[in-house]
Amino acid sequence: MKLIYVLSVLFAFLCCNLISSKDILADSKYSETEVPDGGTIIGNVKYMGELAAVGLNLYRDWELSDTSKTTSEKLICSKVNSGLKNAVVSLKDITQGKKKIIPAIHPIIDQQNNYFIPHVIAIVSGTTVDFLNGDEQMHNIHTRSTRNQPFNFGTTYKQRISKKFDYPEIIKITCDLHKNAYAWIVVLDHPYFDATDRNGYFEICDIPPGTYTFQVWHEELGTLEKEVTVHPKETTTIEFVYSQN
Amino acid sequence: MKKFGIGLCLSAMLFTSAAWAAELPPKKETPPDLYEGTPDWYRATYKDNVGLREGSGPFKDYFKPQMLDMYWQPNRHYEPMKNLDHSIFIEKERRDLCITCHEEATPGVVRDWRGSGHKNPKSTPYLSARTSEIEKRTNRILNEVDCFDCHADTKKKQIRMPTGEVCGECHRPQFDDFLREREMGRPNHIQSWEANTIVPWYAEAARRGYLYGQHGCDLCHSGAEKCDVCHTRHKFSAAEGRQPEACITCHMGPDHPDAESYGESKHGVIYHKEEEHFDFNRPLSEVRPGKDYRTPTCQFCHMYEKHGRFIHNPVMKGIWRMGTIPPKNLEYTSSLKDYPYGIKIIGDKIDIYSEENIAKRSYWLEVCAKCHSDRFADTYLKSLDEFMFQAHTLADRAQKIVEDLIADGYLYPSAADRDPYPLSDGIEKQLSPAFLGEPIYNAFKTLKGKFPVVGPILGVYGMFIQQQDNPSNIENMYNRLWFWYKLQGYKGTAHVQQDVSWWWGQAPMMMEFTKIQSEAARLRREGRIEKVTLTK
Amino acid sequence: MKPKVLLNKVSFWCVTAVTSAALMQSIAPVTANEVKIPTEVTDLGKDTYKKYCSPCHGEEGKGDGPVARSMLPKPRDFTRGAYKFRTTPSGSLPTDEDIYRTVSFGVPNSTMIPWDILTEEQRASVIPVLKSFSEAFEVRKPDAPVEVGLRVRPTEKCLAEGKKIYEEKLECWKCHGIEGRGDGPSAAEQEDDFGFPIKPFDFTTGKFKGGNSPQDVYLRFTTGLNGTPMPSFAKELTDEERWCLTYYVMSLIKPEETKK
Repeated sequence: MKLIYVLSVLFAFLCCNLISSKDILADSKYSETEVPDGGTIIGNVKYMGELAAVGLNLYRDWELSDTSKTTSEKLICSKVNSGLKNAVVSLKDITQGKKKIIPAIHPIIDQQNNYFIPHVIAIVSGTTVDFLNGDEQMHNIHTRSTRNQPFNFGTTYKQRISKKFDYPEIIKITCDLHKNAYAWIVVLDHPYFDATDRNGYFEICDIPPGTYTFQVWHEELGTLEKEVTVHPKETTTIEFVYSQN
Repeated sequence: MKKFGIGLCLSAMLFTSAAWAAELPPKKETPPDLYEGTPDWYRATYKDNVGLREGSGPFKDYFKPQMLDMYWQPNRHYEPMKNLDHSIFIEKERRDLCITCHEEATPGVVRDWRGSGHKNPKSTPYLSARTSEIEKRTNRILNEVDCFDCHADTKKKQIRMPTGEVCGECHRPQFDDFLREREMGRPNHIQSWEANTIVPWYAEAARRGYLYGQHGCDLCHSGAEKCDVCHTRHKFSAAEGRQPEACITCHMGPDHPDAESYGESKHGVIYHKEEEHFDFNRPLSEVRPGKDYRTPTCQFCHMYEKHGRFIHNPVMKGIWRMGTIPPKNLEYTSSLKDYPYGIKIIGDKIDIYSEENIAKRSYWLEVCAKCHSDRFADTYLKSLDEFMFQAHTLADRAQKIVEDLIADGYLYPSAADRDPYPLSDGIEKQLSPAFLGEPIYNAFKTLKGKFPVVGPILGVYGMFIQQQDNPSNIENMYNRLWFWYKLQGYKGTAHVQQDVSWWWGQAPMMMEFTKIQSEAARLRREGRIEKVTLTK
Repeated sequence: MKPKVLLNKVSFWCVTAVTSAALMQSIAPVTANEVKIPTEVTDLGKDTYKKYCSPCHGEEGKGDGPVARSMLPKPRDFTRGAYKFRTTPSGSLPTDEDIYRTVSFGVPNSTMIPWDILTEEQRASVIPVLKSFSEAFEVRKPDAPVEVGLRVRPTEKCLAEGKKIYEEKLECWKCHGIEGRGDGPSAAEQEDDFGFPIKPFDFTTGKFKGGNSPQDVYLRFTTGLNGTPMPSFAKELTDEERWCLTYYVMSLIKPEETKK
């Protein structure tokens, strides 16, 4: 008992430390200003390579689920315009711009039918994400991060776990019980980013005029970069194309 | 029976008879020494630890050892690991930590040990009795013998790889028995490394960049004086040492095909068929032939000493030795009549009918008589002698052909035009007339090795080294005849395996003999043609 | 029928209690109360680390020391700041005391021996060295240790509830197997954060890696094992449920296998 007492005193002390040191440690190079004449970038990310055939994995689960067909979430590409889903487009070297709005309604990553939905989310640092378990079975949510505190929680049906991500990092989330299931959280320290929709489209607005390096990240295909000049109050269209290898 | 119980211990084999031990005055407790009775130069080149800095044997300065000699010859070459200092565990004698860590680091070793007599030295009444003998002798209580007892060098505070001497601290009777191998001279286990390194071609091969090519020889020949060759680590099972498989991992191949000849003989085949009915937990001295063993094992015959007693080494009854040394009882036509030419480091001719050998023969018959009639066994062994006399006669005639060819100057290329005998410079420098005898020593001194050496034992170098034109084809043919085929025939006949005796022994020996004849004829013919054309 | 069952249970609990008591005895806790853990890297710490830790964990704490290559499980890579055995919540860095405890107790079933062979000062001195290998200790601080609730009594009802949690609610068996032998259907595919295959723990051995007291076991599924697939169930289970699961898990120990 004495030991616990000593430890808790010690930790109360450490927690004080935590609060005081937080300001120093948040290395935000980004500063917020008014952007009255911001331009908008819209665009499309495409993948021109071949898609792997949909595989049939009989051993995916010990209890065969209703759909024993597994689709790979690695590379989801629209058949209409080759638009690539789940890519994250962001400005690479922006140091000042619009206000970081931390969403009051927490973005959600749900686990349904042994998958994480959505597969990729992009958030601004400081955002809290809610993790849900929508399956009537056990899952766990296991992140591998260094700067943001990693965690690994077991969750049962309808469990909701909220976690705040304070530092820019690309974090992989897995469920160790269902090896196929994983998701990505891309944390950025500025608000200029967007994750592509199912046709590969994205939109980033209120960018202070100037020339920037745009970067697109995809879990399988890696990153692409492009220099783009943003004109005041204008909409510029750009396109990123991943060719096969 | 009672007499038979004393003086033996748990983990090594139990062959000595206590009757013999009890009659002797109590041994003065000198620490066990594998090199007891050897001269100073021998210790300096085989025992003193030099790490991997220099080799071993009289020619140690001419080569650095193989890296693995660290484990094969720990006495001389072991170096403790540098990147993990174990000294703290030895200083504080933390036996538990050895096991805790190695349970995971090398789990096989620890589990092996857990199943050994060392882990539970008092688990059975039999083991208990053996253990209490050791306890009395070593004056300590033994409830468990663990890593620390064998692997910790408390003086140097470092890890050691145990040698026979470490085992001998507790298993003294077995150690002393094993030491007696030296009485019989080579070939034996205790001096098997000497067999490689006292001959000059090992160092010469190393000098010419063939050191790691010797791996195949060294795997058996270095470290045969260690106990774990037969009682493998870390179980050190006595029963394992009593099984033929303990021997045949080394005793195989063209020069000592014991595995092949025993394995395919009636003895061996019955053993393989009924192996599971053999009781290997029984000490050899208590084995009831026909009940515990239906056929003899290697150990049962070779470790039988005499008069019902077994000894913990298998060389005591050897008569023909390896089959390489010519017998005294023949008339030779070649230079074999002068063998061993005054050389002190190879065995003298064998007198098959010496008093000692006749006695040994009767000990063999004692073994055979467990199942065979005395007359049958005696007849069989006599016919083995006859086989060997014939084989040696054939070898003598072949040697005569080669020697005559050389004497007549028809060897091509001649000794003057080819590389000298291996390590001739080293032989002259490192060996004295005391080793080689005056005439041979002088020959090396004056001719610098530019002379042919044919026949047992020093002529066999052609099988272990490659030098320019040395030896020539005909010399190597002769090597095959006397070293391979003669020995195969010998083992085939001795172990009652007709195929090895004939098709791997006698038949190729005769074919090789014909080849030597025709090669000699060809060389003579070419030599004559050359003489005629040159004089024209 | 009924009395026999009860008798079985009683004898079974006696065995379990005796076993765990024996196991606890064998690694009597070394409290860190008297030892001052330095906050800065000291020369003593550097020396101690170099001599006794770096052969496995590597000079730079990457778990790649010269003898590490043949080891399984692999020595801990300190650069991520992921420590398995903590009193802090899932994902949090460990407290200094947590590290000190692991160093002193070792990790059973691994080559990490209890380093009680070193002095207390030496053991304490390596802690800042270990922390210096990971930037995580610069950006984050350990959370406060989790609260260990009042221990409940290991009644039969409690055991039954633990069994229900193990088999139905949390489905622990999917990795750890119905009998707790670490052979559940998902066992084979598990890997740790460093990409090495990792085996779910075999409870029957009774050599719990984080310590054998009920509180240790309680802490493991309350805090999770960072860097491994083993999650924290702090959010899933009430305090009482966790104690029940603790007792159920400990009841899976097979004394005859513990002896080894």
